[in-house]
Amino acid sequence: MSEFGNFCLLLAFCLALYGLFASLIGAAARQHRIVRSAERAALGAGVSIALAVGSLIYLLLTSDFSVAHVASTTNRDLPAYYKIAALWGGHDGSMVLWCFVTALFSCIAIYQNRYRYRDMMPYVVAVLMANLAFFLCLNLFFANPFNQLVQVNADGTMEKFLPRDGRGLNPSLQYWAMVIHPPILYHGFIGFVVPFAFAIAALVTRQLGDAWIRTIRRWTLVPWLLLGVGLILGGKWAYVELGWGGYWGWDPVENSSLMPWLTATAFLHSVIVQERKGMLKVWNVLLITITFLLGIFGTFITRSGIVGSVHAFAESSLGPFLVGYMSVMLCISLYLILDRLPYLKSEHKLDSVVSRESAFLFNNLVLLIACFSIFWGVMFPVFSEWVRGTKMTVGPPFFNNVNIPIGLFLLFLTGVGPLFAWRKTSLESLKKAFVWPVAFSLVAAVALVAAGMRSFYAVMSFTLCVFVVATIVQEFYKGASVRSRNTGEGMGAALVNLTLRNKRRYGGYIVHFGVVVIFVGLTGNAFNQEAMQTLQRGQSLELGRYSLKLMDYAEGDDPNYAWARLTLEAYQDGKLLKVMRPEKRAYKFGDQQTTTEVELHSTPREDLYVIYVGPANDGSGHEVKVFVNPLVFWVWAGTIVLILGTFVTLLPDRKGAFATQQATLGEAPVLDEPAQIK
Amino acid sequence: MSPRLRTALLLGALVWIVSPLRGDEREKEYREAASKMACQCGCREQLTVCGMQNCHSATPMRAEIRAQLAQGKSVDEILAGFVARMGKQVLAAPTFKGFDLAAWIAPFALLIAGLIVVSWIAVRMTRQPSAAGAPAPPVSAAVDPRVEAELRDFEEES
Repeated sequence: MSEFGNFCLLLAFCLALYGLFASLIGAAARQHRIVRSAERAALGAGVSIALAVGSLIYLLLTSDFSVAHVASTTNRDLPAYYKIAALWGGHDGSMVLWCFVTALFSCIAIYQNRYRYRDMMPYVVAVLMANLAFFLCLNLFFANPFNQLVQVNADGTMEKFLPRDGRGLNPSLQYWAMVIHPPILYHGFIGFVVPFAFAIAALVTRQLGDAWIRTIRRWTLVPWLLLGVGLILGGKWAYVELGWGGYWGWDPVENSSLMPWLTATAFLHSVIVQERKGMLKVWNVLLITITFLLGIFGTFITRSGIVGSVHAFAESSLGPFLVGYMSVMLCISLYLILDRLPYLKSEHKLDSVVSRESAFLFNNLVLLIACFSIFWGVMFPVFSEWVRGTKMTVGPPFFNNVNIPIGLFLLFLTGVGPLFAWRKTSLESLKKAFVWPVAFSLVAAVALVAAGMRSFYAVMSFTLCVFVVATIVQEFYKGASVRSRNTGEGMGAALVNLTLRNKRRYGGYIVHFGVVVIFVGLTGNAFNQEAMQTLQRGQSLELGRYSLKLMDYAEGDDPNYAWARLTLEAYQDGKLLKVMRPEKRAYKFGDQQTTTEVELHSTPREDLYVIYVGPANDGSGHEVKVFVNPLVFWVWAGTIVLILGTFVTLLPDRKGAFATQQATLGEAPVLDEPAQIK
Repeated sequence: MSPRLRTALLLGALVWIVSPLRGDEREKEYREAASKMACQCGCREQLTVCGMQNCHSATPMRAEIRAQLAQGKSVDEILAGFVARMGKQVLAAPTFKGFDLAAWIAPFALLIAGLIVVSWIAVRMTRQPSAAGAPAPPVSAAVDPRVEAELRDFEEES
């Protein structure tokens, strides 16, 4: 089976190369049949990689330890779902997943546009296949998951080696969120290749109007959503599984996922200006290029070992190749942008600096600065070592101090943006738009300070949250009341219909609301409390409103790990709240790692988070660490709102509206019959 | 009561009254120092955060901070001592001196510069004529002969 998997990978690589060259030749010779053949090769490459993934999953499920990847990421007693998750539990396997997701996105994009954009598609196919061929090349020759284990005998000969059992999956990865987190994150990272391919194709063919922008809107929204969900799932995993009491540690790998999300957010905003006003064309092409490259940068950080991270794979030889690839893609993109500058001119001038268009410009700037500050923090240790030969750490204190003010500024702009009108905003309408949101936020600020809140950033954050929510409510109210007046609908129906008729705008507001809710959750960090104590049976630990009494200690054995568990009674204001059982596990395989299984009591107000650290060194009892983390619940709740809002914006347009839009755009008609294509 | 004895008693009483506060103060100082230092076990967390029991790096470092605070050293002195011995990587964030300052300044300098540049661009964009009135962009070399041929056909037909 490993030979078959290897063959599938090789076949996919050959097909991707064929797809790349055939599409370019087809475009140059204007031979659509060659282009069609390239498209079919791309689909074939996708099927081939799917078969390779299938064969690797088969090897994992059947515990074929002659394969190095299987032996290093699984063991016989590992549950089947973790065996499947072991596909991306190691460097080599995760590269196959990367290639599979790349092929999946490429195939869907090619199939979806098989009758459309015939001038652009050869170049779209070429970019997609170049990208796929590059990663397949790395997968085949530098990180092959089908490599077999061999042992070198005393006489120098080599023979196959079959260990009795595998090393097992990294215990930290044995958590439900970890089963879905990497694939979702990969879909987010990789998905931006499609908008990037369309951008390059639009540059090459000089078709830099709105068509490509409208085509890639959903192709940008979906990876953006998946990347966001992947980030939050990673946070959930860190919170529950790593047991340090937090969900975001500004780790380089976490940061490298956040960066493309920020630039994609900027793109999703600035693209609206191009669609409505034909402006910011250069900026949009640049943004999608940066977003795509940051996705590659993320995998470079994870796989190169250039900066240390708990999430990174062990240092591999892929770093220089990834840098080379990023450089080539950047140079090609910049050359094309510079060469096509005359085609990228704005179609309209900016009517006023005080307008929605300007607000988008500033929002883009702040998002990019947020991205830069994270990039700067991630890379500063590397720069420091290059410039001064000094190793240094850039950790949470830096990122919090730099990014909290930038984040608050961004939150402010989230509220301000919708209050500006397109083209021009008069002073009178500004006053009208701002009066209620400002009034509500001032009341909130005074109330918070009067209630004793002294943390400057927390007061600012909550005040801005109130400001943004007020602007969103005001926007919905204004729109619904106008609709209700004009159509005679009730306010509820008007609100629903208003949202459904303007899905992008009002779906966007729902996303903004989700972001506000997440900010509320993040602000709770300012009030975290923690305590650590050694407890004997019957003793209690006090923290805030809570008291934890140690009732029992138990040990046990599982096929995969040995466990030690505390039973604690948690009291809130003197009343029994819950019996909590934090656990410590010592895994029997691989590095015999120990993990903490956190016990959590989560409410909208706060989380009671209990960790069993282990038995005290002097044998005097059991060390227990407790956190009271306010408002964490809202981070997860806000994410659900964000997902819902994005789904609203993704809802398909009514057929008639879409046809009208297409006709207005003057795009090539959608051909129903393949025979119509020469 | 001699003035010396009175002073000693007063000082003793003061120390007795303040000493519980001192414990809180010391815990505060400990947290300040520990949160400014990074664990060297590979987790990259602050010393206050690393959750590994008996961590070979965090556990002795925490104990040393407490011991040095008990000796009366200030947070800055403790940090300087660790840096002298283990290098700058023991700090969880860059310092505010020399090259390290660039880490802190760059994002905000760029933000300010960006605000100025974007404001300038926005003002400029309000003044420039729109592309609707501008000459059409050049036609590519591939399209050019086709356009010429079609124009020729058109002229011949008319």
